[in-house]
Amino acid sequence: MQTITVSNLNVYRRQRHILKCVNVSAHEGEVVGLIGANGSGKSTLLKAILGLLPVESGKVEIMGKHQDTYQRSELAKAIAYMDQDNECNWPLQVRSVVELGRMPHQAPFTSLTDEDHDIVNTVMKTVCVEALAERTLNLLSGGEKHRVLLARALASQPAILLADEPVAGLDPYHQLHLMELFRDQAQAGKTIIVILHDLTLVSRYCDRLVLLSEGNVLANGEPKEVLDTDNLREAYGIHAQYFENEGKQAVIPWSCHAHSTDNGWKFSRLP
Amino acid sequence: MIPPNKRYLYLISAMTLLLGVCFVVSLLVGSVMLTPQRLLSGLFHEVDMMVQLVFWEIRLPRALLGVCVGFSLGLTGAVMQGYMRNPLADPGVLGITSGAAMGAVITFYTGLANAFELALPLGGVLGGLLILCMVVMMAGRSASVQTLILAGIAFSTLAGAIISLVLNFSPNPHAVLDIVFWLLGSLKDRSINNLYLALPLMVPGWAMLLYCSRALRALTLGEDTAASMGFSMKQVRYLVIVGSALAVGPAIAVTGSIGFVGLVVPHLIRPLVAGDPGRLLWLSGLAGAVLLSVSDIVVRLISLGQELKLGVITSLIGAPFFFFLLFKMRREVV
Amino acid sequence: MLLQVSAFLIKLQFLILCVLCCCICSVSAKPLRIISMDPATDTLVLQLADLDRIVAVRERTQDPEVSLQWEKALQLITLRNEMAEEVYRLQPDLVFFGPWSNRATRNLLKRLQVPALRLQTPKNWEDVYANIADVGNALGEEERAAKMSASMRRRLSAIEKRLRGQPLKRGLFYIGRGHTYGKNSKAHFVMESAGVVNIAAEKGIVGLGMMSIEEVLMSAPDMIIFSDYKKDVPTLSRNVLDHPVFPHIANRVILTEVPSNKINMTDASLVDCVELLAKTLYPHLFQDFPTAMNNYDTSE
Repeated sequence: MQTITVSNLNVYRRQRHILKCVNVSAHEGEVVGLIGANGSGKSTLLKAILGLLPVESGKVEIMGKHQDTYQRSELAKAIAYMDQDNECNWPLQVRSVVELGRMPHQAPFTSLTDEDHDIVNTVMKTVCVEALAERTLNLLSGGEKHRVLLARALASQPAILLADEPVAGLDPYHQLHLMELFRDQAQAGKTIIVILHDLTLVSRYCDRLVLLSEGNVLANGEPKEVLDTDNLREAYGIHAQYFENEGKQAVIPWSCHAHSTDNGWKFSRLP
Repeated sequence: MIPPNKRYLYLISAMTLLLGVCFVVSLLVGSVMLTPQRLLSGLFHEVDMMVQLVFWEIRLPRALLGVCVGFSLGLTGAVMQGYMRNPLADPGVLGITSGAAMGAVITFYTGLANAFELALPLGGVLGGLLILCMVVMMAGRSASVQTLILAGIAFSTLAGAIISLVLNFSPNPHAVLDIVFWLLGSLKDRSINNLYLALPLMVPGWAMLLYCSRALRALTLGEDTAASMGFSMKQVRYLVIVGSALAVGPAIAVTGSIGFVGLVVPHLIRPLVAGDPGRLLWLSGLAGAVLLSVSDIVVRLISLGQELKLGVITSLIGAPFFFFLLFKMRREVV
Repeated sequence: MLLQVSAFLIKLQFLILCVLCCCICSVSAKPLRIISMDPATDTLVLQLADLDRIVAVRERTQDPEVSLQWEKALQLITLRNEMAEEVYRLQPDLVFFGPWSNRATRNLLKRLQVPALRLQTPKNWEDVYANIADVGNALGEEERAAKMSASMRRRLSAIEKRLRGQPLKRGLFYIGRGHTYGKNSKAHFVMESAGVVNIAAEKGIVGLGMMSIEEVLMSAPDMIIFSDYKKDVPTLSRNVLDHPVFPHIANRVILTEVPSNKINMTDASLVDCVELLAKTLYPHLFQDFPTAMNNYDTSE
């Protein structure tokens, strides 16, 4: 089932045209990688799907229903979001942070039910943070912290999970661990859209890629098709080396086109 | 290990009990020593009318005002810190206090408050609202600590200047001396009328602020995450700004500026609730009431010929605490 | 005895001053360009000297709530502040200062060799008479001054005679912000002469002091005396006096107001205040006294 359908979406922020007639969709059980250079509109697209930004034109459909027809709380139950900025402003314990994920299901002035506690425990087990339950979030290592924030997002039992650069700043082990957790969640039937900059991780773990360039969808499809030489030059201004292992492609950014003879993206931008 | 829910209820009960004790002590303490026996017998025997008057008209309003104003300041401090996600936010630092004093001064000395009694607390609300809106507009919502404090200081100073300007225009030369009261508040010689004026505005303010508790908890993970959890940031901002002005404005209008309660209290309570900004609210309100009641008792017990201003005590406690926080933050940054 | 000596010394000082003033300014014995810088001295000077000899008084003296001589003051130049240049420009040959005058102005005028007299706050009736005599001497109106003092003494002794042997009642002055007057204050000797035992003095307060409403209530006063000064202008100082507890005790305690344009003076108005208080507190003794009462308004 198609869970997210974005059609002809135009978004402006501070008079700048950020998303230009974007068409994207995602299915149940799919990990979609959203890639593109800095400032290409990836985060904006996620926020537009979440309904956090005013949309100029076009529409966003969630589970087949127009986004505007949702109540805020209903939308919050359907979609969970992991922010790029993983700050936690107060010295909260890990369990309390994960419990925050139950808030969309909680009525005002009530406390968590037994069912809520069960869900929180299950989720914490799934992402291997139950041992950290009593620790303070801000004192955890990066990898642990990101897993806790994933647990928070999963605790609302969403059909859709949007993650903005969830592996930024993590060591290779934790990057792989987190990506495997995403895969598992997709296997369980969730739709996952994840913004990433690591082209190898993307081609290893994503079913499909959407490549954004200056607010346009430059390519949309299987990782192999999307990550071809032309697209990479166009979107990132780089040249990459390709390796293959176990039927999957590893893409390693190799050189910066701006310095090479055939002109980098900075100088040969299409009109 | 007590589960957090139960722990929270214990804390609330303990704080309420403590507040009850402070309230009773506050009734027993005054510039005239009255033994509890004399007070009790006076209350139930018609003969001792002066004791009755002292109790009902002077000590009771004073104790009640202390509780309500303290609750307002503690609660608002906790909400501001939670909303701005900034441990230095407080109604005084952000200028609401001075703004409220300015609004009250304008309505009081122009005689508006004489013509229409509710004008005084309303003036406090509008003054506080004005300054808070300007600070928030100038500094932006996710402003750095420095910008926020500087904006607060700038607007506090402006409000202070307007206060002295208005006082200087009063036809009564003694009015200029009133500035001491407006800059360092006091609960001395207030009457039950002051409470009747302030409460109708303060209670809706408290309700608005307490309603934010869930949103403040969600805001722990940043504004976008909170919004993705189903909270309207516009609504929260409106509730916080209007609620703070409603809670603090009337309080300051009847007691003068009392600083630092809103800054200190949430910091003392935060470790008890493991940082939860939602659970902080009720407890900070109650603890603010306790702190103000205790300060007011201290003020009445220290006899220096003339009663010390309440704002002096709270500032004596609060200002070093503020330095300590700044120092701690600087160390963390380095 | 001691008092007489000190009064004599002051007079002697004055004589020297007057002599000096004659030498320096080379004018006649009677100064003709008089400036007064304090509402209380203004009021006294306006009563003792002819208006054409007075150049300027304080601006506040034109306010009927401040001085009974306000109508005369309206015809004069008024000084808003106590600036020395403001005063010197008017070329005075005699300047009167009040007790709370600006020291810098006094020093500057002294260096400019302008003859000046500074009156002190009276601590008893003798000080009041001495002040009146000093002003009279400086003005060259000794006779008028002596007449004023004599009439005051006569009226006071009449009151004293009636109060002799009476059981005295207790009271206190209660003015803005909870201030009250203890020993050595004008209010104190006025109350004393009116047969009121000053509760503030009993508590050991000297000069200006503070009492909370609670202390006032629990001191069981028979009378509380308020000031009517600017009672319609909102200030916090009135908050204490407008406290809702006072109407509650109005049927047990006499609440009265003294006119501020009398109690703040250093002249016969003080005796008016004594008569007012005495008549309010002991109506049966002073039935024939003409002074109108000024009752505290309990109706908000």
